[in-house]
Amino acid sequence: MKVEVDLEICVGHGKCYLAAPEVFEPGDDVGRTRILREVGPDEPDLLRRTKNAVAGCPEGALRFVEEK
Amino acid sequence: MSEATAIAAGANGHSLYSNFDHIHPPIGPDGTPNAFYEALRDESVEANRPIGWSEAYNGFWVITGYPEVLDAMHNTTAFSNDAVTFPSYGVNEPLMLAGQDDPAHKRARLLVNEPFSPGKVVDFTRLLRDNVNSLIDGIIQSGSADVAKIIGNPVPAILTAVIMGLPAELGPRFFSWTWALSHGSFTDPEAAGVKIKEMYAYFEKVIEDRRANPGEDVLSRVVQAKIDGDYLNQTELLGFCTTLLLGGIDNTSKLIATALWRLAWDLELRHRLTRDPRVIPTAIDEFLRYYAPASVGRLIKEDVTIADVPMKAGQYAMLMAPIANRDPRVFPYPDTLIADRSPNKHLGLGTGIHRCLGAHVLRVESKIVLEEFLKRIPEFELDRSQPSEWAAGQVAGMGTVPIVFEPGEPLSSEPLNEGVRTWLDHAAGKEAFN
Repeated sequence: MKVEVDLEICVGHGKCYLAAPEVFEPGDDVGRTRILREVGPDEPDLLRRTKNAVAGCPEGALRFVEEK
Repeated sequence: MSEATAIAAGANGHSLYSNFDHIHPPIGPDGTPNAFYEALRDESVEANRPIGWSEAYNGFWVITGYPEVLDAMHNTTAFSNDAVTFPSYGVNEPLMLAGQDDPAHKRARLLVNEPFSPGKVVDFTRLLRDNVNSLIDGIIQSGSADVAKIIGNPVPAILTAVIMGLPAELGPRFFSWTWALSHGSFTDPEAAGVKIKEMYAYFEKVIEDRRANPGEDVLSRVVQAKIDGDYLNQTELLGFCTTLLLGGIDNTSKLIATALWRLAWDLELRHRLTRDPRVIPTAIDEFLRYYAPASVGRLIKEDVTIADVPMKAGQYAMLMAPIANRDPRVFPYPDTLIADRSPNKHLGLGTGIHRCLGAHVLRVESKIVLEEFLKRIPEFELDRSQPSEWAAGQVAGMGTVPIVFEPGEPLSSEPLNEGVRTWLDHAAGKEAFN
């Protein structure tokens, strides 16, 4: 699954890279997030943590991109 | 009865909102105001009353529901940071950043974002680890200590001094100023006034020095910066110094002290974190939810309605993070501290444009403190012969945490640096910094 960040909304809480550092990292001075990669169903632990990161974004800046 | 009171009083005329006072909340049997906050949250949920009116301090709105606090934090047009401290701290100069609205706030914030960025913050890891261990060295042979005084207060005071480019050995003095602002302003305004005057006099000298000899620290950056072609004036510079000092020390010291207090009696939690330190980062966010140190005030600048409650321009509002963090609409089992809670959208560091500038710093600080402390002193308990004390206020948490433990061996016989040494001397009563 692929995650998208809205950089207009993200203010750099940094909770996503705490939850899933494999997928998110600080992308600029403010700490707004950068998405590193997609997560597949073969990585259940990482997928769970990525879902928690998306659900736990305090600004609601993260979302999963719909699969075609 | 005013219109506002009528709304808050509800059907039976009795409401916990009606004399709500966040500076003097009732302390429950566990030594914290959490039981009271949970009772108020119950009223909020059962009576569907997420916003109520308190008659204290000439009247103000108390916002306790999570979505309602979020609305107020995001609506920066109606809810102004002019009253970020309510009732106001005893300062002459406005608190820069925290007490500002956009666009002035944004310009000021852009000046200081970078030194607090996640990338910069990792640079402090080594220093923090060494300082924490050196502080532990100072107490480990005695088998007892007030860990608020010897860990919670020094760690952020030393790091804040480093970030601001101030001498770390003045840490106890810096701490006494922030205590005067947050607590003294209410308990002993006269003595606090003297401290605050001392703080301004000190910062006036620092500003003068940074103008003449700029360095790499945050204050040099602020002193040298131009906003719209002008340097910041003296009032703004003093406000910047106050905000950075207060923001750097106060909340983090409370968070660390409260976490250590909880770990002193919550064996299950302590053993879990000792066994699996990878849980420490999520546990820190859970401490921020459960014991959120800071709540913020707002001045309402235009009429606004949230959750069918009309609020009027000119009124004040308190956005109560520790209560919103217990909203069952957002947090399952809200009254239970769950170390690996995830997701955890707590409001302990605020949200939106005023989100805590030092969020990344305090996460690293508290993580390293808990990691090192549990490694060196894995078994400890509260010293019941002395009181553990809650320091109430707009920024609140444990202010005294006496513990006892099996004495151990120090890693080094001498304090690592002067910053650590002054704190150890101060705690031992050797150095009177007043």
